[in-house]
Amino acid sequence: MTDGVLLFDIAAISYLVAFTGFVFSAAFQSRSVELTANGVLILGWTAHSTGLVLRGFALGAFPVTTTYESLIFYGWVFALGYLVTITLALIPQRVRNALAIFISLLTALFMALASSPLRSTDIAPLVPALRSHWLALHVGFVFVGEGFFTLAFASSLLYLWGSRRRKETDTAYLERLDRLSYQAISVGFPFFTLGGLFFGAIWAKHAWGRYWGWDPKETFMLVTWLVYVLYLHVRVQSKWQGRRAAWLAVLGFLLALFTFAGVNFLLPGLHSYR
Amino acid sequence: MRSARSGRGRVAQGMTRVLAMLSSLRLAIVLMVLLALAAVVGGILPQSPSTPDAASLYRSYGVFWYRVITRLSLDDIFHSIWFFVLVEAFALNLMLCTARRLMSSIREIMSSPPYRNDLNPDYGATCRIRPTSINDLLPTCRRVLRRVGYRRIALVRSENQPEQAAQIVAQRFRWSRLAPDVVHIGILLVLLGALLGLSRAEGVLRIGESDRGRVLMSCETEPSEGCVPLPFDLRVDDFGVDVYEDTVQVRDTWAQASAWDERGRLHEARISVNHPLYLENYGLYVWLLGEDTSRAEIRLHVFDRERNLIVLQVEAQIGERVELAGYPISVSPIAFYPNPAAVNADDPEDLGWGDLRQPSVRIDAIWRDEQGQEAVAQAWVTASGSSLEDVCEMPVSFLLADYRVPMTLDLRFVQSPGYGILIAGFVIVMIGLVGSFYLVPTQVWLGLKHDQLECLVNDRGRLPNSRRSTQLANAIAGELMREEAAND
Repeated sequence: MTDGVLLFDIAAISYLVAFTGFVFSAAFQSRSVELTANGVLILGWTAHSTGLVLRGFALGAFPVTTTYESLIFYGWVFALGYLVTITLALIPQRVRNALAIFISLLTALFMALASSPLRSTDIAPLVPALRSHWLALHVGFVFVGEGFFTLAFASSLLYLWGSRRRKETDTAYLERLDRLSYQAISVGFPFFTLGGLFFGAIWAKHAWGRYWGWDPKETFMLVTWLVYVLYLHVRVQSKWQGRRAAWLAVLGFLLALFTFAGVNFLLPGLHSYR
Repeated sequence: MRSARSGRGRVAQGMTRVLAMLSSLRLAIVLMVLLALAAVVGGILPQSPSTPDAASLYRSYGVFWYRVITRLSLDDIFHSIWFFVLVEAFALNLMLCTARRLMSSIREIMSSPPYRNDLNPDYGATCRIRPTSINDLLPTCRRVLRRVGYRRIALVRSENQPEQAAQIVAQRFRWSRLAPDVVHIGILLVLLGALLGLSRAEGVLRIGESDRGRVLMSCETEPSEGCVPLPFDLRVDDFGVDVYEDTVQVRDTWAQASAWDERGRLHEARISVNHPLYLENYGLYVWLLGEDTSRAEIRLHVFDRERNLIVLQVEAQIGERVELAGYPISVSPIAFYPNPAAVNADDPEDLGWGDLRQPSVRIDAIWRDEQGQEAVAQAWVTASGSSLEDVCEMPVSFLLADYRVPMTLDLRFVQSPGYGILIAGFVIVMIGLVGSFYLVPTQVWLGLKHDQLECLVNDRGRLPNSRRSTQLANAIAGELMREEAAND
C-alpha cells in the first residue's frame, strides 16, 4: 500500500470508467452522465495523487525515477491538464465531450502501460545521479508542461479529424478547438522551457560539470522546444492557423513522447534509465 | 548629381530590403527548421566525440554513407562550421528582429488605444443603463476598471466627430507588449553565454589510494611533474562509496577534499555526485570510481607437482618480482584482469589463453636453465590452474588465491566562462514568457449608444474576448445601479 500501486490501479480503473461515461454522455447528450463521469475522474485523480504522495514518501524523492513512475506521473498530468482546463476555460459542451473522451482514454492507456508485467513496480533505491532536489524541479515542470501539450495534441487531433468531416456551419467548434490548442500550449510552454531547458541545464552543471552536452535526450528536448516555438511564431501568420498549426502541435507532442520514451530505449546517453 | 542621389537611394533601398529579410519571421522559421533537422540528425547518428570506434561504425554503413557523413561533418554536427553558422545566423536574425520591434512596441505602450468606430457586437457586449453621458460615466468606469487592474484610463474622441463621439479606453499589463522582445533578448544572452563557454577548460584528475593525504600542487604555483592544472592546491584525504543498507546498491560516491586558494585560504568539502566543489571559477566533480589493475596485489599459491600439494603462498604487486623459497624460481605478476571477457581481443599483450570465465593474472616465471642463463616463461594463472604446464616443465605450478585491486577516483574539473550570462539569459527568457502568456496585454473600449453601454475587451490588442467584455459591462452596470440606489 505504501508504494501506491493499489491506488494507481484504482485510478486506472476510474479513468476507464470515466471514459465509458464520457462516451455515453456524448452519444446520448446527457449532462448528468457527463457530470458523473467527471466525478469519477476526479475521484480517480485524487487516488492517483494520494498514490504519488505515498510513493514519494516511501522512495524519499519525487517519484519519477523509473519508467513505471514516469508513466504514472505522465497520466497524472494528463488528467490535471484536463481538469484545470474545464475548470478555468469556457468550453462548449461538444468540445468538452470530445476532449474528455480523448484525455480519459489516453490517461487510462498510460496507466495500463505502466501496470504492464514488463515494468517493475518495485521501489528501487535511487542511483547517485538522481539524488537531488533538481529531480522534482526538472522532471516535474517538464511533465506539467507536457500535460498541457497533451491537451493541445488532443484538441489538434480533434480539429484535424473534424475539419475533414464537418461542414462550414461548424466553424465555431473548429475555431474553439484551434484556440484551445493555442491556449494549452501557451500555458504549458513556459513550464516546459523552465523545467526542460533552464532547470535541466543547471542540474547538468551541478551533476556533470557541463550544462549542455548534446546528449540525445537534451538534443531531442531542444528539437521539441523548437517545434513549439515554431508553432507559437507561425500562429502570428493568420494563414498558419487551423490545419497547419494543428499538425505542428501534433508533431510537437509526438516529439515530446519520443524524447520521453524513445530516447531512453533507442539512443543511449547519460539520460538513459529504465 | 541626380544619378548619384538615385544611386544612393537605390543602395539605401537595397539595404532596407536586406535588413527586412534578415530580420524577417520567415527567415527565423527557416533557420529554426534547419536547426531542428540538424539536431535530429545529430541526436540519432552516433557522434564521434562520444562514440568509441566511430570511424569503423560509419564504415559499416557503406562507402557512400561514410563519405556523406565525413564530408558533411555529420559525425560531429554540433561542432561543425555549418552548424555554427546556422546558430550565428539565427542570433543575427533575432537581434535585428528585436531591434526593429522594440521601438514600435515602446511607441505602442506609451500611446493610448485609438477611437474605434465599431465595438463589434459579435465579440463585444452591451447592456442597458440609465441615460447618461460618457463624461458622467467616466468616474464609475474608472473605479470598476481600476478594481480589475486596468490603468491609463482616458477619454478618446473620434477624429471625425470630436465634439460628439467619445469612448473610454483603458489598458492592462501594457508593458507585457515588450515581453516577446524580452524573451528574444534572453535567448541572445543564452547564446552569448554558450559562445563564451566554447573556451572552457576541463580535464580529469585520477586519484589513487596512494594519493590519499598527498597535496597535489597547482601547476600555477609549482610547475612540476604531477602538478594539477588548477589554480589551487588540492588534497584528497579520502574517497569511497556509500551503499544502501543491506544492499550492494551504490548510494553515493564521495571524496573528502581540502583545497587552498590563491590567497592560501583552506576550503574543506565533501565532494559527491550533485555536490561539487566550486573554487576559483572551477568546479570539481566526482566523475568515476574505478579500479587500478596496474597496482593490483596478487596472492598466489605455489603448487609442488611432485609432492602434489600447495607448499607456499606468495604475495606480490603487479611488476614486483618475488623469489620462491626453496625453489630456484621467481615469479612476477605482469597484468591482472578481473574480467578477462572485457579484454580487447586485438590487445597485442593478449596471450590467447586467458580463462574468460574468471579473474586471471599473467605472470612471468623466471629460472636459470642448465647453461645458467635466465629463462622466462609467461603464463596465465587463475584460481583453477595455470598455463605453465603447457609452456614448459617446471616443478611448480601456481593458483590464484586472492587479489586486491586498489580503487581510483576520477575527479572532473571544469571552468565554464559565460555560465553566469547563460543563467541571466534564462531568467530573462522566463520573465518574458510569463509576460507573454500569463500577463496578456489587454485593452478595453467603452462607448455609449443611446442608453446602451457597449464594451469591447481585446487581448493583445487583437483578439476580442466576449466573456470578459460581458463581465466588465455587467460590472459597470451593477456599479451604476448601486450608485443609483445609494443616491435614492
